[in-house]
Amino acid sequence: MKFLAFLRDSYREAVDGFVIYVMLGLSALVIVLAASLSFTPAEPDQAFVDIAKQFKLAFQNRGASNEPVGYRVGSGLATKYGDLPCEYTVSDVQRMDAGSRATGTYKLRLTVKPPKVERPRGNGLEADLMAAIAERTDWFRMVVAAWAQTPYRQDVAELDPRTAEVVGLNGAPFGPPRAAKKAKEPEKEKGKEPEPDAPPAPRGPTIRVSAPQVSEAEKKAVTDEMMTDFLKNQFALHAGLDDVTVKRLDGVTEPQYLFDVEVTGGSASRGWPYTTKALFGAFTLSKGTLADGLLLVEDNLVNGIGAVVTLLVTIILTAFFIPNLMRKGSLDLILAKPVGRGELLVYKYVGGLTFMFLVSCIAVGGVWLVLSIRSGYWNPVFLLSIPMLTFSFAILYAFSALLGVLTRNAIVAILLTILFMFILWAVGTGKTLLDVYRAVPVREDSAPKWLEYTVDGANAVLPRYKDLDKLMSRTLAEGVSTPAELKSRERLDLPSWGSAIGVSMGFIALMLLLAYWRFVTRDG
Amino acid sequence: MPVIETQGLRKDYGGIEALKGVSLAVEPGQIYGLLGQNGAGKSTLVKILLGIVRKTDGDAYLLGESVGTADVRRRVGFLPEDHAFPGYHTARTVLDFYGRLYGMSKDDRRTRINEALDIVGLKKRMDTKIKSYSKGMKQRLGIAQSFFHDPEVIFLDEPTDGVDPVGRKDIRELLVQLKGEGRTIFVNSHLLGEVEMISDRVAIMHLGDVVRQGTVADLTRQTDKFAVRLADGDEFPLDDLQRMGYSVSLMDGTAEVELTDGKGIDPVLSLLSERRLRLRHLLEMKQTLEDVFVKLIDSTEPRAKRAVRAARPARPRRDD
Repeated sequence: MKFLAFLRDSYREAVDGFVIYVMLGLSALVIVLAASLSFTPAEPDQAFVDIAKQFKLAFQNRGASNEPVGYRVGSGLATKYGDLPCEYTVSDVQRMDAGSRATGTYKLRLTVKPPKVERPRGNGLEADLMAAIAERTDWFRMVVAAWAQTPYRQDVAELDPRTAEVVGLNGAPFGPPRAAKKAKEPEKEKGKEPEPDAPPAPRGPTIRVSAPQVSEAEKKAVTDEMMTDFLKNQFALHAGLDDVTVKRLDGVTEPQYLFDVEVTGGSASRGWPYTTKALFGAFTLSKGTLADGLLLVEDNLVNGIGAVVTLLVTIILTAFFIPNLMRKGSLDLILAKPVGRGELLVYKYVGGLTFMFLVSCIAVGGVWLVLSIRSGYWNPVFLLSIPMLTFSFAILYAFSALLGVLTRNAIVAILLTILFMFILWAVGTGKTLLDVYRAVPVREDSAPKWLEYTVDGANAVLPRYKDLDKLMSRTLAEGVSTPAELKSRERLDLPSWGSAIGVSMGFIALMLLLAYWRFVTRDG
Repeated sequence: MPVIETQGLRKDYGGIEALKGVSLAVEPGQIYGLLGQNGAGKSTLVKILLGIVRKTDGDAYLLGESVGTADVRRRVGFLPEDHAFPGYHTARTVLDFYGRLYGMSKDDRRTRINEALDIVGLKKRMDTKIKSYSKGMKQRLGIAQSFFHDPEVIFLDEPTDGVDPVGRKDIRELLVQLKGEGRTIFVNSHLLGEVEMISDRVAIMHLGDVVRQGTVADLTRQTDKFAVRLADGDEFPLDDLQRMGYSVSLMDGTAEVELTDGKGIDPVLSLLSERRLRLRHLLEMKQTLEDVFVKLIDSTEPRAKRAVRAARPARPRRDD
């Protein structure tokens, strides 16, 4: 009963000012914007062409791995991937049933052939490597053989990034590095012979280049069944189409391959291309999968800009709750009632969170509803933004509550909480950049140690505001993206839910305990 | 058994001694007035009794229990000085909020809120936001919230602050009515006249200590001064009485006879009788509570010293 009383009190306090109406107005605006979106599925002829174009990207271990089949340059977060250059073209798309487009069954012909041999776009080492790889033949067999390998094998070359010289292959040193040669030259001038058994001089940072390791015998061993399994796997990963039959046809000579494909699922599949238009068709927002359009709204508009605006406005609204309670004259009135100080603090804190929860329900729920109606895709995962937004606010509001108790000044609480929010964002972004920076081996300069210690230390103890944002983006993507798109995301070094929520909850608990301690130890 | 009892109650605010061992007892059904200058420690004492401020030392009991428990607070009402109600509430909603905190049922809240606001004359404005209220209206609302939940003890800190004379009279009558219902009322005030009119017992606090307490009659009784008036045409024997050792002053035909050195009034009356002077009026004079208060303050801290203290740079303000 007391909790409900405080909840109603917090509600009255919040709706007393104009800010709540600004907030509701903004929510309504975002909902109207979402309602103005239109999602138009591509015609089947074009849709299958677009889907097949993505088949260049295959995944190791028969599609089970997140790592692509192909070459890669670099390692860790700084890895660049290159597809194997096969061309997949679609023709003769026929509608086989009279059902809706969403569940339609289609028949089509898929041709796979090597690309025209030409130097790929780009320059330098990467382009040379691509050109060298492209000179090989029968790409399709190579891709399928590599795709089917368990475990996947690859040739790994270590290159000196300054000279492009190969300094190692498959883990073995490949000739003395240039740096070592240079180091020996002055010794020759002085007439000293280098010791023959001396270990090679330490090597500088190298860049790792890898390519599939497929023997000719393996290529020859690729069967028609392996090819059709590969294509089925590609339809499943890139389009979310699981009900697919593939049959290899004769009539073309290798390295060209011809397949008859029958698929069921149509535009209901996650990978079906859509055109997303905004403001009731006024301009095109995106052309891609439905996920592209939906994520543009869910992740960027609502979970990105919308979340920041909502958090800022709610910080301003709720920052008054505790300082107003603690005003002289106001506090005496309430403390004389049968309610403890700890209870008071918790009720006010939970009141703020409830307020945020309700606002999130209106904004996110509204957008979810209109997006689902407009797109025909009912994805409940987006609704997880409500507790996530509330949890992000819980972090900031715990800090604001502590400031409210310490200073009894709402303006100070607002300004410092917004500054704190910026610091959390800066630390999270700094940590991401630092991790990428550290993963690039060619850099000779390194970030100052004090900066690394500061960012790593701050990231370890401060709430994971940025990590929660990343995790939420991934969760939203899981709701709408194709398996192939998700694999690309999975390759990123994402934080775990456990650490992100655990550290953040620890921080919230610490802030509230400090606020409670200060509240109970002060008179009045 | 006293409903309020303190023994050697002390409170230090970082070196400032707000209470220096206050001991007092308030019996049930009384109106108890606590008088004192600003900064005497009155509000601190009340806040300790309500658990708002923690005591430094000593004992304090309210309704037979140690102060500060939620159960005790449920049975008392409190009107703080300089109270600030949330402006976003109306009189009805704020009382409804407090009623929920007291654990009152919905029906109880509805009935008691209407009654209380009717008693303090706010019923017509009960659905208007408090931020539009005048100071007097807020004060009346404060009084309503102190008794609407049917408490056994009511603490009122400066209850007539900001209220016009008619409103003050209403408040006095209300307090007497509440006392009549068996409640104990503890009034903090520096308006001595108000307290004198309604209090059964009074304590005077000065610099953190209770310097005098008793019934109003006890405190205001003056046993050494009489007003004597004779019939028209009779002349008062001023010189004779002065020779007898009395201090006498004449004003508008009435003589004020001050008894000194343990003398009684009887020798004066005998003299008047011997001289065949016709006595028309004899009254043992009383002093007002204000006289008592000022005398007491003067005796504990002479005016000159007080003036010096008042002229000192302001120290951190205490609650009262």
